[in-house]
Amino acid sequence: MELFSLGLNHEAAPVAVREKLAVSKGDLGRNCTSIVALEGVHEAVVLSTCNRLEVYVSAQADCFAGLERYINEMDELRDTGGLPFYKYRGASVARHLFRVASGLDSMVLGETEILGQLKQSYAAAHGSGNTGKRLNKLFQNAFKVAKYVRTNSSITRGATSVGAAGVDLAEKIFGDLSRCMVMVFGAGEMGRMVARTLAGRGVKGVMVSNRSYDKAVELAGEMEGRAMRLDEGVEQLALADIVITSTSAPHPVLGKADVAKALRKRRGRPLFMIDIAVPRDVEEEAGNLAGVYLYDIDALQGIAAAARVRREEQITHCEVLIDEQMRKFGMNNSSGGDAMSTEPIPTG
Amino acid sequence: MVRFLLAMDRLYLGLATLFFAGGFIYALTCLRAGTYRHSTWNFAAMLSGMVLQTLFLYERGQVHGRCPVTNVVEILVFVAWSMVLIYLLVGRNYRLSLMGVFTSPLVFLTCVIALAFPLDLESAIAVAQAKGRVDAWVEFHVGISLLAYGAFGMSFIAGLMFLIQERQVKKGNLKTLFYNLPPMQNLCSAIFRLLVVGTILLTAGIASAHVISVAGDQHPIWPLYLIWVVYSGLCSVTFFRGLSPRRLAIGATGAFLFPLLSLWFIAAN
Repeated sequence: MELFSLGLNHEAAPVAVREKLAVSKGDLGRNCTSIVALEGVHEAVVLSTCNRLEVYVSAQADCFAGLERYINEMDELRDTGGLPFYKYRGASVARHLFRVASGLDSMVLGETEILGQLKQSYAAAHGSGNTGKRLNKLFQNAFKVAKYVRTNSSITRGATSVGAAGVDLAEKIFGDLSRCMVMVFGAGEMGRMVARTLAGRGVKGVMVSNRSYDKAVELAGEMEGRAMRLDEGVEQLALADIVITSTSAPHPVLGKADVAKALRKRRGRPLFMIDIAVPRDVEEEAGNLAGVYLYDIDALQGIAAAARVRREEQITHCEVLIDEQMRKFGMNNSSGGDAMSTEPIPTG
Repeated sequence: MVRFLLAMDRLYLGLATLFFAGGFIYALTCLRAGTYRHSTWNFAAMLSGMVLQTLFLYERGQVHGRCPVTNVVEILVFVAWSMVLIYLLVGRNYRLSLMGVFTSPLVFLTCVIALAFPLDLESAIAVAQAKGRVDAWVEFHVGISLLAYGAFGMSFIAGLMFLIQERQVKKGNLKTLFYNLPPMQNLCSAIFRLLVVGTILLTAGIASAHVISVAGDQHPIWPLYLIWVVYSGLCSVTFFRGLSPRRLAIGATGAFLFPLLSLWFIAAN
């Protein structure tokens, strides 16, 4: 009995292909059962996310041909010809799975969502009775390795997107965001995105201020917030802990004097401002006021880029940690207890 | 017996110093590697160090038959002990885990300075022979005042942490070494609470000094008044006028100069 894995990810196939291969959460178990029905296959787990489709099996002999046929025969893919699958065998399967679980194979390096998706896939396969001794052990080890890698490296550290960088900074200032009021000036797409990310962290409330009141009502409705006109927003600035500006105004909407006035009313409480607009909505000098933390789009992109670089620097260290765990689990030698052979990565 | 206890207390202090150094080095290594998550090991080192400090102070107490704050070494260790005690109470409860990393080098340094002082064997024996002259109010005054110093020391550390965090947030430069610093708002609350606790303790210390003065055993307490004015002023301005967190942090950091200078004054007298 040997381990095999076949799949494709965001690097191997475009979204047009990946979307046709996507397996819904409810269908994971059924697909595992179909794969186990293939000749020589004893256990199967199907992992399907927006960035990858992977099949992990335990089989008596080389079953890549059968797996390829199965995926190619999925609806809408019958005529697409050969797909750019990567294939792993033996210990390489474990190494690949450990990398996936640790977020090293993700589009956003070090992201943690993949571990949840992996657990979900395994649960579906296990629940439908399609896992046995080998895949149970493999996946349990993968979860342990993912935890180990995250604990012993900084691969998950730092925000890698503008929205996440905004949230990260807000948490560095306020800690618990549930007591923070957010005020959004303008209804620009980037502003909406950052506001949604913050709202998703359970902020106390959202106020939306816009030149067009109707648009303010629309955005406020999306986030269960309160809409107000632009001038009212400037007046109410002191109520906000976090300010996001993304108007299309050709001149600053918030001057240094407006911010200073709000600060006086805030009695020393800090004001976190994200100015995503171009041209900028907040006078640059406002950032020099004590207690004001002002960031423009370049600053946020710089923070996100720096975090990405730091994560990339961690890859080698993470690979070493995975190697260490492979040795610990006896998965790095060809004569290992369960006869897992070491194959070149990838094999095909 | 006194000589044996004196030898033991130096051993306890030396071991405590090693624990503080070890905790700090471990935490620093983790911080540099970006793997600092929880303060368990640093906390364990601080706790062990504190237990050893307590044993040191206990032994000294046995020698003197009174609160062990009769010389520079003991005062330094007592202040360091107070800081660790307050860290263990405040740092853990307020999710300021990294505070231990900042506390341990300061406590380590204090212990090293204490260790560097020569053994005061003769004076300890002399004090031990005069056990009958112990005054409960003097014990209370010294103990409570030094606990206040511990709180001020911790407010200094929290202030320093705030200023580092504020600088890296303002610059948008979140370095690996200080990535785990607590949120500024939490640090600000911690600084204010520590200042209030320290001021209350110092008020009690000054009040008890007046009882001693009435009893006739007078010693100069004007440095305590000066410290009280500085810290109570800082608390009042923050509470009534809403001092900005940055100014509060600068105030807490700078004001610690006064307790430090007063220790020098006490040592000199």
